[in-house]
Amino acid sequence: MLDAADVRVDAKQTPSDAWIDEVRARFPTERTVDEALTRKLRNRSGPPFRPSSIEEVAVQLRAFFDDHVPGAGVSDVAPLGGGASKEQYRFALTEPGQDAMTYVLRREPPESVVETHRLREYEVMNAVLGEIPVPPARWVDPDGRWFGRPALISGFVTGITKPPGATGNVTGLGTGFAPEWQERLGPQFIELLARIHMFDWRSASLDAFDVPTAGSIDGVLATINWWDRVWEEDSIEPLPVIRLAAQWLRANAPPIDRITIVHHDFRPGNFLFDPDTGSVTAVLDWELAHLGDYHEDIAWSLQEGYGYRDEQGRFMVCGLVDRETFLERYEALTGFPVDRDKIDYYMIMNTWKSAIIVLATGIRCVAGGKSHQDILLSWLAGFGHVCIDALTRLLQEKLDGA
Amino acid sequence: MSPDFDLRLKSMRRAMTTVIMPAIEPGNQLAQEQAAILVGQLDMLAMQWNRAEPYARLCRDELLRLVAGLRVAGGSETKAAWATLQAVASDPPAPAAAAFNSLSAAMENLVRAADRDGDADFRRQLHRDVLLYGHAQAARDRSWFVQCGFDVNAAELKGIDEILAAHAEGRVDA
Repeated sequence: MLDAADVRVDAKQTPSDAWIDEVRARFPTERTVDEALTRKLRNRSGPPFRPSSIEEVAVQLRAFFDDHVPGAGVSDVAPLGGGASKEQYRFALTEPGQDAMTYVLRREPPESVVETHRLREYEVMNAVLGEIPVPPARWVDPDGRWFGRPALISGFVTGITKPPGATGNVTGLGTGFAPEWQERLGPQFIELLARIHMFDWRSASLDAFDVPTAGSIDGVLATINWWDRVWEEDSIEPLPVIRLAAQWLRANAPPIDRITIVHHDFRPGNFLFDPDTGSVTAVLDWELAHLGDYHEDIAWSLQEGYGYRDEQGRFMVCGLVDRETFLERYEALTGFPVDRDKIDYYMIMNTWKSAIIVLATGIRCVAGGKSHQDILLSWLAGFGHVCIDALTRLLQEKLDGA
Repeated sequence: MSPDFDLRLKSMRRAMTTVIMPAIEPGNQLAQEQAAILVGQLDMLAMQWNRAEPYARLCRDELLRLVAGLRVAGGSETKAAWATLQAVASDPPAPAAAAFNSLSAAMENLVRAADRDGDADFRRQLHRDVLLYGHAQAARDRSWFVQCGFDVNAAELKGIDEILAAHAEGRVDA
């Protein structure tokens, strides 16, 4: 097993307090984003990831429920696959006087491919519960008091992420949907995105989120700072184009005219559906959600890596629907105008963020042995070069048009 | 030297697919998924291991070509970043992968400095050159990692052997 003493990547692997303070000052962003990133840095020189035995997890769960739901019983703890970001275990919980129900424990590894705050995930999932199909998030351990590291417990929702026999890569990337599934899932996919954006977040309890100023670029700059900071903290191999893209994004940031919830990872692999009825049963992975511009979400789903070209050469957004239908249907459902210039802007921002996630944070996790999914993250890094290719092409188009 | 890398990688793959993977508990999804990725990584290593050094040399040489074409103009920060980049380029460290990283770091520093006090014309030239270079490097890296299966436009990519052959012959389409 990798020991802390084996990890000598660079000075960022053992960051000083002064360096952490300097990075925080250079890249001001949302309070709880800052908290999550700072916690990551302060823990970085700690030990690498060590797998927990099922019994260790069961003991932690029992201690947690002894305190939170006295008399409840925990059984059938088992690891779940799939997630690149958080450790996941399913377990049965029998609350007093009730039948056993299945739940999912999502626990942070020492470092994750995306460093996020469990309180944000907990709040946003509860906010949209009843409006959007989501697993009910019932308990949160935001500082890791009970589970050693921050964790969230939600209900278990049945469903699959890709049709039986479908092709696809890890974490839902490049999932191939047959026409039958495109017809069944495509309209729901667009409708769910529309419902997320139409959700009345002002009436919800979202205290962990900072609210950007409408009509201003401050929220966009906070998002750029978030990811620019991640690059500064996590990158191992320098990439000049990442710096250049950050400069372009700052110089061209558009104001946010209408503030909505942004899911930030709305794509195949992050929703479940019933293989018999074809109905979507849950939208997953809310950890990157924030308040911002709905164009950011639309552009995320439009990324090439999440879709493919059909036999006619049309790009199928997330493998489900062609691009123009996707945009037209979204506009019809929401009544929100889709500004093509903003889509272009957020395509560049999202491609930049995707490259940072897989080429900086993912590789940093692997180098430090910090994640339960090191082998998956080193595989995912291959996606980063597809992102860099798209990023350079999109930026060239902008510079040529300037 | 025997058994060589190819044979050892082949035996690892065989152990994984015929003995280890069938022995994984059907309910342990995480172990099943990681085992499948491990086999994929072994296949990629089998393709890459004896091409890694020439590939690193190619990447280093293309970055040196970018540096040689720059005409830098600007204030003190830009000039200082340029001096550092020139120093690395004139005496790049070995091996080639280390040289590539050092050059990339110095180039990234120049991009940052030029944003602060580079002349406008130079900045424009730098941005275009970095993007052109970045696009070509990304195309090479897509070929290098094509076995990961993430590339929706994989059919447009050149093979790594074709890219390396072009570089060995001094052609600039590598």
